[in-house]
Amino acid sequence: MGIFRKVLLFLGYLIFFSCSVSVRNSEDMGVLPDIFPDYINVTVPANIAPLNFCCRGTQSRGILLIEGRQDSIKVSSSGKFSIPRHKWQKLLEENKGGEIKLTVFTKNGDVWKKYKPFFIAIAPEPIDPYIAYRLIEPGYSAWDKMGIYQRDIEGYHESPVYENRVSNFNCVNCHSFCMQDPGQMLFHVRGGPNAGTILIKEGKTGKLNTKADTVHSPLVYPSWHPSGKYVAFSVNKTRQVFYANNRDRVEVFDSKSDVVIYDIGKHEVFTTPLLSSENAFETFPSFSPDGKILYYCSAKALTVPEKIDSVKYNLCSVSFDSERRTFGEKADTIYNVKISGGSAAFPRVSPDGEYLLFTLSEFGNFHIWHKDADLYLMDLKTGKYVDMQSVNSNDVESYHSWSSNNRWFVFSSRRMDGLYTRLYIAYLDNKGKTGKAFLLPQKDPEYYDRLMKSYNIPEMIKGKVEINSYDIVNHTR
Amino acid sequence: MNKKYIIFLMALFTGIFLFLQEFNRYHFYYVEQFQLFLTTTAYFVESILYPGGFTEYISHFLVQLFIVPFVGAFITAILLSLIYLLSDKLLTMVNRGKRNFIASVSICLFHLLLCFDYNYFFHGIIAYLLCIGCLFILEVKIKSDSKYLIAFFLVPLLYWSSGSVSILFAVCFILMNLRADNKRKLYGIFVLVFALFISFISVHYSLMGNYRMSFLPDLYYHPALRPISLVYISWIILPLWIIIIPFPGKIDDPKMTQRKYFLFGTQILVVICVVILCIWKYADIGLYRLKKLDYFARNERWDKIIKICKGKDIDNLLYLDYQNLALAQRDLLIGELFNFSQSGVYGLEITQRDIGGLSPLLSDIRFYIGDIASSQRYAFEGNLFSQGGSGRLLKRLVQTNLIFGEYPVAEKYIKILEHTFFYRKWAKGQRCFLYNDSLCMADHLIGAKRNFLPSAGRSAVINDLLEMSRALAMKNYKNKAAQQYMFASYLLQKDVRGFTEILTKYRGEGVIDVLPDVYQQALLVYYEDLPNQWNKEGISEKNIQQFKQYKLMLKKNYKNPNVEKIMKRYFGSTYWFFLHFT
Repeated sequence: MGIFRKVLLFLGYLIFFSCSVSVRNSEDMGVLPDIFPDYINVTVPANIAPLNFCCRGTQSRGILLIEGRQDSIKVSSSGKFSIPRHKWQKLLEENKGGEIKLTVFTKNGDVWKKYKPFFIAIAPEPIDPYIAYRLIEPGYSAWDKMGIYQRDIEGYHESPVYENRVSNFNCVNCHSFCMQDPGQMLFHVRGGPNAGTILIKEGKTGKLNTKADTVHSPLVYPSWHPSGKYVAFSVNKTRQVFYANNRDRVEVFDSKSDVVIYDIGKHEVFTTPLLSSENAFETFPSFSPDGKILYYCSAKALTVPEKIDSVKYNLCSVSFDSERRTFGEKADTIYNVKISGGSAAFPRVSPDGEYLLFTLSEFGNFHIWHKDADLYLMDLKTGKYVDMQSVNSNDVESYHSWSSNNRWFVFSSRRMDGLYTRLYIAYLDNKGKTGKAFLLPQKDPEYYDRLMKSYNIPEMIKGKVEINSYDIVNHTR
Repeated sequence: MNKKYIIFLMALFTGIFLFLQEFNRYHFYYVEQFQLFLTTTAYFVESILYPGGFTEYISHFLVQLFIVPFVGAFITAILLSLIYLLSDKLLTMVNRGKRNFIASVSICLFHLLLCFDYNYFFHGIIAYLLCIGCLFILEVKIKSDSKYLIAFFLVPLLYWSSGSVSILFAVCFILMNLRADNKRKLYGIFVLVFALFISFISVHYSLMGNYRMSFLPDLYYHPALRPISLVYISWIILPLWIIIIPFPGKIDDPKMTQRKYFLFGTQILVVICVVILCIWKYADIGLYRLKKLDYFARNERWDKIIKICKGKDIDNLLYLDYQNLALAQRDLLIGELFNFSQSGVYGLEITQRDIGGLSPLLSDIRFYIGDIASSQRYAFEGNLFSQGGSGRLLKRLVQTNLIFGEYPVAEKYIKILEHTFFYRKWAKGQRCFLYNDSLCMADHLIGAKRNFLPSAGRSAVINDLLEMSRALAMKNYKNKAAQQYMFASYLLQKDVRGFTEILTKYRGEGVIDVLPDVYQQALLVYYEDLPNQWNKEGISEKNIQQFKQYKLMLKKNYKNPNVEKIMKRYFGSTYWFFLHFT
């Protein structure tokens, strides 16, 4: 070996061992590190992107040691830990069903400090690789740029599905997928020549005729029937007011709402008196995975906004025969607000039909603006509730959706700062126990500090949506 | 470049600088507040991810400096002088060495006029400069046939860095080469085709929103609006000159001395006339005053605003909003209400339709009276419509969130401002208030505003200024700001009955010591038929006598066509005059 190479090798050992020796001699802090995001003791899927984080309150040099059963990763930083993706995924794959141990070291002056290690559990089941969501500023009545985006959660790449800059900055909302299938989706475009409900199905793009004569407003919240033949919609007359001094800032409410079913093949809308009563506000339809039950929320119709805090939504269900397009003769009340209190919204049944996830707040239905809103998870077989302490926070938890394998759900939360909605993912194991929710990781953990938009309507999808804004505009003009 | 030319350039630069500084200086401050430049790597990376992002980044960097006096005019004058210089060089080359003064000046002039329109983004000027800079390098410096290949590769670079100006570049390039004696001049067509293809494909893959943005100068104008014709003229003029550039005679030809002076003098005259005409047509002087008032309001120079408005006949509601806010800030709104122009209750707060550019003013008014929720809303929505954020409105968002005790959100905005050059010091200074209620309460601004907040609960914000200021004034009688606006609203709405009822309530609380003249005048109207009541209400003898004189004179001149003028001369600053004649 040449002298030059020997010298290089010697220097390499010197550097490595000098660091290792220093780290080994570090001062034991005995406390957990104050990291952001909080990934301490979370449960993650093996195919999640690296959980990059930073140590709060310090810009000094740091080392992160991630240890699995066999391998380990060492990451250096000067403030933010950026974990190499390939090594991370390999480590997680090797430790599926188990956990990994993370130890943080920081250097203050010449002294290394070692924090108490924390663990991340790796679930055996993967998560759907994409989440689709809308990005929009959180509040009031105005908007400018917005769009529907999809994020590859095995990496960090986010790409637009539809951005409103291609259609004069109009409003786009309520994207929805049939059984997490990226090839079957719809969303609304409000105003302008492309206005309407855009339907993408089997590679074709079209527009639904959604302002049928029988309904009083355009169709709003959608839910696909698993067959792909129908979509349940709510029709809502919605208003909002702004509070003069209230942490909830905004109140959004319906003065009228019903639920209808749109037959995609026949371009017809039909309903039943159970879903369109004059004396009740029916909204948030959601089909069961087998398509035989339609869940929805229903509240006694009251004058709003005067009596808004008395408007409380029950969670109901009615049977549905997709062959005959008929409904059952009576509705069942799954969650009765008179007995249990609160007001329910967003019922979502897990794909295996075993669990029902919904949001509960004190009153009303637009829970993203209610700080007391939390997620509730009901075991449909037993009627019992799953402990959601590791999921909920003391701020808003609201919109949610399931992964196709029933083990994960993504939801909106404002726990970070109370205003900007961020996405959290939680695990539900086969014994009905939840893991601690974790924030959707970003390449730069400080990304959320500068992001001035909220994540809205997160929907997990099994793959990438393969159509772009230009195609949609062209097909729907 | 010879000495004369350099002197001319310096004179041009100085002329443009002085012109902008004299006629447009407040425009620069106005534009600066609606955009934000962040000193982070992430901001740079995110900026250059889209076509035109690079010049936009440069533009934001330069525009942030506009907050410093003189800098806006200085930077703009440099860029415009460069536009003149480069277009002059290009057109001289096209014209086979003959300089055409009008051609180059006209290009510079149209871009100068664009500086008056705040819907035209500054990065349009930078993009244009980059375009003619590339043309200059290719045509004047390179000259060999390799320029065709270089141009071909420049097109995508120019498109990515500067946007749709690549089309202008390609068009000018092909026109310049068609005029030249060159066997390969038709190669320029490939450059144009490539430029068109890139613009088209960019829309197809949604890199650009629509064709208008990808092909036209619309990219450099507010996306929600259609550009004014001046924007298109500023683009068309260079290729037009390339095509039609005349040969009036070689300026430098010593044999044509008399003709030379005649031609040069004629050109100067034409330029001056065109400048005056264009300024008259395109430079919105009315908007300039608005920008001036806004600048003083932003810097809380209320006396300046009062001085500008004093003695003027103003019917523009926005000017009146600024005027009345300034009067209120100086506690003069009631005392001096009719010593200044008034035009009804919208002179206190204009009705809000498109909030956008009005948001700082609306936010300021509501902040002043203590309607922090509305102030926050206007600041939030105004920030949304700005180019990447507004320093001024983010500051307001920090303040309103501190007042409400929403510390995490306030911290978020503080962190953003800490990554700017000109707002970071202020933002750092706000950190001490985070999560510190006692310090907030002790602060003269945050504490005072917190004390005047409406009761926490589900009461909705009221859009109507009178109703909201009344709710605030009644909740806390010490809220003088709300009180001023409340009473002024009643008076300007000519609701004398409502005014009297609320005044009675206020007086019952012992909050009003001395009854201002304008209150007494309103009470005289209400109790006109009950003279026994006048003294009981505390109306002074002076006001009573004046009222009697007013009625007498009105009766005497009732049928006189000049009655308004006559009454204004003697009673123009009274409430009675406003009541009857406004």
